[in-house]
Order: sequence, then structure tokens, then C-alpha cells
Amino acid sequence: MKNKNSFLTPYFTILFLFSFLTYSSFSQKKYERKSVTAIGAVFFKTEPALEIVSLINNRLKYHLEVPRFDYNELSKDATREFVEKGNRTDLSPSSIQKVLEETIVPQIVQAVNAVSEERAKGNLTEEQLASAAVDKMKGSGLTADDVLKVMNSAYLYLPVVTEWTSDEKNATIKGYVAWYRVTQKGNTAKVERVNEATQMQEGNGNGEPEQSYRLKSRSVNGTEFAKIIAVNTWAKNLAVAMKNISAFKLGGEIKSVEGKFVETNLGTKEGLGMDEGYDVLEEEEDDNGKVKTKNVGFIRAFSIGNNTQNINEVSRFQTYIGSGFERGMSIQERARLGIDISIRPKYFTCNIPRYATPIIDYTTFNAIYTNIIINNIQYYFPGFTAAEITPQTFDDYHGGHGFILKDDATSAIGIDINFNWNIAKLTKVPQLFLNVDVAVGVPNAEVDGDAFVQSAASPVLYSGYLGPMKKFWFGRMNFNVAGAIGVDVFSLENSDAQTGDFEKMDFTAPGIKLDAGIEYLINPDLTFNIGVGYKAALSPIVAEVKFKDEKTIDISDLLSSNTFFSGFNDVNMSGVNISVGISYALPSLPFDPFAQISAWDIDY
Amino acid sequence: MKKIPLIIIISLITFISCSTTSIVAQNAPKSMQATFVESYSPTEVSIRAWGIGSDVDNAEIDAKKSAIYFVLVSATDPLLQTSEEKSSFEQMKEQFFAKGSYEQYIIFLGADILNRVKTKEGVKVEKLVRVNKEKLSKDLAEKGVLKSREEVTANIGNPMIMVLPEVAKGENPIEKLQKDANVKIGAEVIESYLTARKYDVQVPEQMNVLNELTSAQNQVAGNEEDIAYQLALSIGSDVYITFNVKIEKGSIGKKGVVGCRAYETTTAKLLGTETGYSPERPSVPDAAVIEEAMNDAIDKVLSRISAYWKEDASRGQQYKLIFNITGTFDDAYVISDAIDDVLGTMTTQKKQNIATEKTVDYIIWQKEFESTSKLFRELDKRLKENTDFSGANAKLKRVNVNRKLILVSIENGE
Repeated sequence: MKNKNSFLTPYFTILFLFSFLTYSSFSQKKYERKSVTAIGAVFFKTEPALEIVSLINNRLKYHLEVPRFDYNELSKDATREFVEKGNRTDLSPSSIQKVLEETIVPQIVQAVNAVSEERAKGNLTEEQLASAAVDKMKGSGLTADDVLKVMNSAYLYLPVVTEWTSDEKNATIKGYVAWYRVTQKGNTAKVERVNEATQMQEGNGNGEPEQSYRLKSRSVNGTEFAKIIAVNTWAKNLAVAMKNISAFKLGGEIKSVEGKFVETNLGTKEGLGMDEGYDVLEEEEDDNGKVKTKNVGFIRAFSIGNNTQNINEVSRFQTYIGSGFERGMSIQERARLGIDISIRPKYFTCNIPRYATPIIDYTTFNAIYTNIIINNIQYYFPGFTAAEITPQTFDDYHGGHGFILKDDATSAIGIDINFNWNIAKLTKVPQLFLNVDVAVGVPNAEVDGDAFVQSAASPVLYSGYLGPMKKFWFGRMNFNVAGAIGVDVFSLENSDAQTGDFEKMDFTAPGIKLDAGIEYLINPDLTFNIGVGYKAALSPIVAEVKFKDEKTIDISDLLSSNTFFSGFNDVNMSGVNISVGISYALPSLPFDPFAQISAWDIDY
Repeated sequence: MKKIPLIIIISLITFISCSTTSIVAQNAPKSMQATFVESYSPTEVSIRAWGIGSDVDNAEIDAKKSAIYFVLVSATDPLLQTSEEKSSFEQMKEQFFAKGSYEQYIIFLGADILNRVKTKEGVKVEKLVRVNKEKLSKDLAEKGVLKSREEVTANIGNPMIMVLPEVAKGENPIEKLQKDANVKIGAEVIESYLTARKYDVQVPEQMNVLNELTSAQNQVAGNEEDIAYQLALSIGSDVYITFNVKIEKGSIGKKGVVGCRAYETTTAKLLGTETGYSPERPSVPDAAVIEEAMNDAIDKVLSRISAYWKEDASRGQQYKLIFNITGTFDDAYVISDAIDDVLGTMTTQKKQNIATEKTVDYIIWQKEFESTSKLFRELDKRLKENTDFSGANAKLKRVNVNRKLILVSIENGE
């Protein structure tokens, strides 16, 4: 029974012809190149979304086609045949597998076998090279086993979309990549599913339809941007999952140790990137003589050796966890997204005067506003007179209970949520991050129990900052400094407002901040941190007030020009902050907090 | 009070003694685990050796020592073969493995650590080590640990070795050697090893030398159809090596398979046999895999020859002595008895293979005469002096005399 919701799009044949295949390993200490072939089709388990097929292909090619693999071309005919035959089946995994063996695999086998010797040379051991050197007739020193490894290290993948939704502003994609390994025995070749690879991933994107968003070579509207970011985020997550498949994990040998740095034989040829993390492994003999592999440390790539040009070039790694490393220990890739999430409760000082938290109704506001207008007229036309309107100030309002806070607030407590994007690969500066810092807090002051509007929430402080951060590591500890610019928002909101009641008031102030902190690496993924910082914020430059069922009123101009509102100018978010929290190195993230920046690198 | 200096002196002596013992004990290899990889060249062998140490540096040093120790003692065909040699080396082992001494035999130490295992005591590492076996052998001979080749051959000379391909019945080995390129390569590899180790190599060029011998041998039971044996005997080699070469096609490439056998010429006794394989290799000429397979086999076979030669040299030069009794005698056994008596006075050892009315066949060892001609003349002289022999009116006639063979006929005197 054919699943009508499943569909193999026929478009890949044209759009997605790259293929990458690889070969397999020799020693555990040295990564053995694999070759991978993109089938060129997308498997939709839902209604096929043909408009994103080329986008999926583009983004998967970018994120999965990495230097650790070799690539083989697949003919259009093979892919077309696969799609046609595949769509005539029930699209079950076994049917797909069978069709693959009939259509794609023979081509892959042919392509791999044609270049297997050349590729196998890249896997030769020092021992083989030394042996070949004495006898030129041995050629490169390749044996049939080396070639066989290559021939049995070809993989192919098929993206599977399980969910796709999009509207004007948002887009969501869910799915995974099904990996297959091609094996050859004699003249028979078949594919087998790599089960550990099937991890469901998600990507979300959003944008404002009217707004223009910049990509690498063009700009798009918000609707398209949302789709592109959703698929790009999904592909990034799939790439991390792919790198964690045991056959694809990079590995190397520690060649030398120098203080806190170790050198290994990985480099540009394998696509090693700055700040990528690796576990240090050691084989240990127990009392019974059995050898077990133990994880004894964690290191990050500090400088990358160009072993594409010179096979003997080494890369330097900095030690983060562990000590006493020696030559001969092996390292193994620990792929992560490159974005850490940090959650940090914090205490910070600020200045929120009591009189900056008024709760007034629309009538009162209008009265005050009228007074302001009268005063302004009197200023320019001194002869002008008009009836006085009470209250003249907020203090007169409701007998002094017109404010939420009973006292001025000079401090607040809150929580910071940071996304730290490691930009070392872009900047070539190790441990340099771009931080997006969003925070929420409440003033540390007593709420007036007799306040006019009891249902009003306490004032809330929001902030959003963006800036760089550099970490200086000393073993498991680091000292970090960060600078950022952003805005703070002081917000009052009445959640139970009736018509004409005060509903919401926001004051927005720009600021810059400088933070410093100390972190301790609990494990390669988890960090404990303590931070202090100082924020210099200006007085609010944007102020808005809203009454229930009324339009939002911009009172920004009044903040500095009138005594009634000038109290709001005294709201100041400048001050010091102290935070304590943890960071986690994310293996995946269903949204991209840096979407608008990372989009600059999307060539679609 | 007088006891205090005494205690100090005793303590010092004890300390120095213990320290010395401890230092000495550190020199010998600890791991002694190694496996043979390949005969890299006629003078060098590649070994995968484990080393044990407190850290990787020390373990690597131990791996180098273990590789040398393997070549000396643990290999299938070690350099130290006799109990005397082993005992002699044991006495100088600590000194041999002292820093600055053994390193000269390490031609190459792989940069890669093939395996590394942490142990309670420290660490074990496996390394690829190439050892200069020839230099090792030569130096140990100079130090008197090994019997030097010169010493071995002082009296009897270097062994002459003939190399010939194996052939089917009725096939001409020399022709095969000349026409079959793969066979020729096999022979060349063997000859390369032999010459590198200072053996005298003989390659027969023609078959007609066999004619005389064949007719003589026809009356001797045994190796009538072994052309290689007959050739070796006829050209006077001490040892002969036969080999076969085969190329096997695999699904990806080809591999070489060779068989290599060494025989003592005079007795056709098998001294050693080895089969060598090359890995299956893609895109290489036949010669490459043959050479590789032959390298695998010949080194071991030569070790057996060397061991044999050392042992045999103590008995002197070995000859095959064939008396073809062509004359008519009342009692042919009187002749053979006389020969036996005379040989008893001239040889260090003799072994009668066959004694019939027509043929007497001996293997003899002698140290007294430096050439076969002198040996023959002395034999002739002593037989003439032998009353039984001369009384039977018998006389010797030289038919064929070479380094290994004395073929004579015994005729009636005039």
C-alpha cells in the first residue's frame, strides 16, 4: 500500500548532482577518508513541498559536503531512474533500499572503483610508505586491502522531510538524513542503512514580510528569509549529527606535547576548524590484561596545519581538560553546533524612581496632558490663562498611591540567557564569540499594597545586547571579557485593565556594557561561570503608553520637556551586575539566534 | 665511635652495589615483544616492536632494544643460533644495550606510534623499527659473540651457492631461467641477497656439464632426475637453492607466491624451505610482487644456510666422492675396504652412502688439503701405498674433480 504522503521529488536529478563518497579507515588513530554520494532526491513523508527542494539541496550540500569526504559524480539518468522507480514503490525503507541497489549503487561502485587506488593512497600508513620507498616497483605501496577499504567506504544519503510548514512570517522543517553504506563483495554490491545516523532534527525561521533581509549575494523578503533560515538551521543540525556518526568522526594521534598544547596530524585536509573540540582517548590495561579505551581529556583546535600542501604539517590544540598527555594518545572529534547557551541568574543595580511607575487612567493622563499643553502655551504666550486642572502631578493622584512601587528601586534581580556563537572560524581568533544576551529582571523594591491598580504586575526590566566576547583559558578555567551594545526596556503592564485603564508603559534606553567573568569547565559541554559587569545606559529615548482600548501614545518628546514626565528621565539602568550560571555547548538548536548575521554567508 | 665509620662504609658499599645492579638491570630490553614485518633489503629488516617504559620516550627506547633483541634472539632465524653465541651475548647484554651503543643498528624509527597502552607501571608502545641486521651481525662477530663469516670460512672458504628454478620433469631449468622473466626476477632477488651477504653465487649457464656426471650417477640410487642436484654437484656449489614463482590474480590486483628451498649439495639434504607471499597489490608489474614475495622467503632461507654452514665448517670442507669401479677385480670389496681405510687417514669425518661392486659413494670432510686437486693427488698416492689396493692391481683415474665432487673410476692397472 503506497503512502500517498510520501514522495520522492524528481528535481534532484537536475538540482543536486554532487555526490560524495569516501573510503574507510586504517588505524583508529588516523581518520580514513570516506566518500559520500548525494542521491539528489528528497523524500517527503508529508505533502511534497517542491518549492524548497532546491533550497534543501543547496543547504545540505553546503553543510554536509565537508573536506573530510571525497565526492563522486552521479549521472542524471541514475538519479532520474531512482526517483521514477522509487515513486512506484510503497516507499518503505526496504523498497527504497532495493531501488537504490538497482539504480544508484552500480554507478557509485563504478565511480568509486575508478578512483579507489588514488583515494586509497591518502590512507597509507607510515609503515606502508616506508616499505614502498625501498622498492619503487611496489609503486605507492598500496595493497588490495587498502583499495577494498575504499570500495567499502562509500556512503550515500537521502534527506527525509517529515514535516514542513510555512506562512508569511514563519517556517518550520523537521526531518532527518538517511545514510546508507555501499558494500562490495566480489562482484556484488549492496547498501545497508547506517542506523545510528537517523536523528530527527528541526529548523525554524521567521521574518517580517515587508522587511528586506540580506543574504550573501542578494536580499530577500521576510517570507522567503524565514524559509531559508529554517532549512539552513535544519541542515546545520543535520551536519552536527552527521559528524557524530562514528564512521565519520575525525580522529588523529597526538604527535607531540608542549606545555598546555598538543600537536596532532589532523589539519585542513580533513577540514579541521579552529576551536573544534576533541576528546583525548587512552587505551588502558586493567588488572586482567584487558584493554579498555578511556576518555582522559578534552582539547580544542588552536591553530590549523595545512596538511593539504604538506602531509607532515600538524595542528596545535589547547588543553582544556586533562593533563599528562603523551605522544601516541588518540583524539576523537566531539562535534557541536558552535553555539553555547548560557543561563545566568543575576543581581544588578539600577535606578527606578518610585515616581516612574505611575498607574493612571486615560482620563487622568489626558488631564495631565492638557495641563502640559496649557503650560506650554503659557510659556510661549505668557498672557494666556486657563483653568487649573488637578492633579498637577502624579503625587497628587490617588492620595499618593498612584505608583506601583512603594519606594525607589536601586537594584534588581533577573536572569540572563546568552547565546554565544563561536566565530573563531570566521575571525581566526580562537575563543572569540559573538554574544546575544537577552535578560529579564524585576526591581528589588516593595510593591505598594495600596496602589490604585492592584492587578498591575510589578515593573519588569528587559534587555537585549549584542557584542563580542573573548575567553582566555588556563586549563579548565578561563577569564573572559565581553563588550556589548543594546537596549534596556523598563516596562509597566496592567494585566487586568478595563476600558480606559492604564494598560502598558514602556521606556527604552540604549546602553553599552562591559562584562568580565571566570568560567570552569565541568565537562566538555558544561561550564560553570561567575561574571561581573558594568552597564552604562542612557536615559530613556523612547517612551510609549497605552490605555485599554486606546491607541499607543508616544510620549518620548515629553520626557525631557515637561516636569510631569521628567521623572521618567531618572530611570537609569546603569550599574553593576553579578551573575552566576552554567553554559551548555549545544549539539543542535531548532532556531538560529544569529540568523540575520549567519544569513550573510548563505549563497542561495 | 669506631663503629660509625664502619657502618658508613658498609652502607656506602651496599648503596653503590645496589645502585650499580639497578643501573645495569635497566639496560636490557624489558618488553622483548616484537614481530617480523619484512626483509626490507638484503641488510635490513623491519620489525614491529613493543616497548615498555615510565613514559613514551622510555618506552620507545625499549621498543628499539626489543627490536634488536628480536633479531638477535627471538626471530625464527635469529642471529644468535648456538648456545655458545647466546651465552656469550648474555654476558655482554647490559653493555650492548647501554645508551650510545645499540642505537647505531636502528636505521629507522617510525614517527607514528602504532599502538599505545597505559599500564600500571607506565606505558607500552608499539613502533615500526628497522634494524641493520648485517651491521649487527658483523659487529657482534668482531666482538667475538658471533662466529664471524671470515672465521667460519677461514679454512673452507665461503659457501658457493647455486640458484636454479624448479622445473617439471623433462624441463630445462636453465632455459626456463633465460626465457621466463618472472623466474629471472626471482633468481635476481636471491642473487642480490646472496651477494650482499658475501656468498659466492653460481648460476649454471649450460647443461652439457651434466653429461659426464649423469652417466656416473646413473648407477647411484637416488637423485637421477634431480637436475638441480646434478647441476650443483657438477659445478661444485656447496649449497643449491631452488625456487618457484607464481602470480595469483585477485579481484583487485595480483600477488606473488614463491617457494624457496635450500639443499646441501653433496647430500641433497633439505636445509630450509620457505614460502613467501606478497600482499595483493593493484597496478603493479609482476616483478614487483615477485620481489616482495621473494624478500619474504629468501632471508629466512639464508639464515638456515648460514646456520648450517657454521656447523658444517667445524668439520672442514665437504666433498662428494664417487668411485666408479670399472675394472675387473676378484673381490671388489677389497677395493672398497682399501678406499675406506685410506679415507680414514685423510678426513675428519666420512660417511659412506653406497658401496656396491660397481660404485662406492662417500661424503667426506677434510681440513688438510686446500684444494680438490691436492686432495685427489694425496688420495691417489695413499691408495697406491695401500697394499690391498695395489695388490688388487687397481688404479685411480680422474673423471671429474671440482669443488664438491671427486668422481673417479677404478680401473685395472697395467
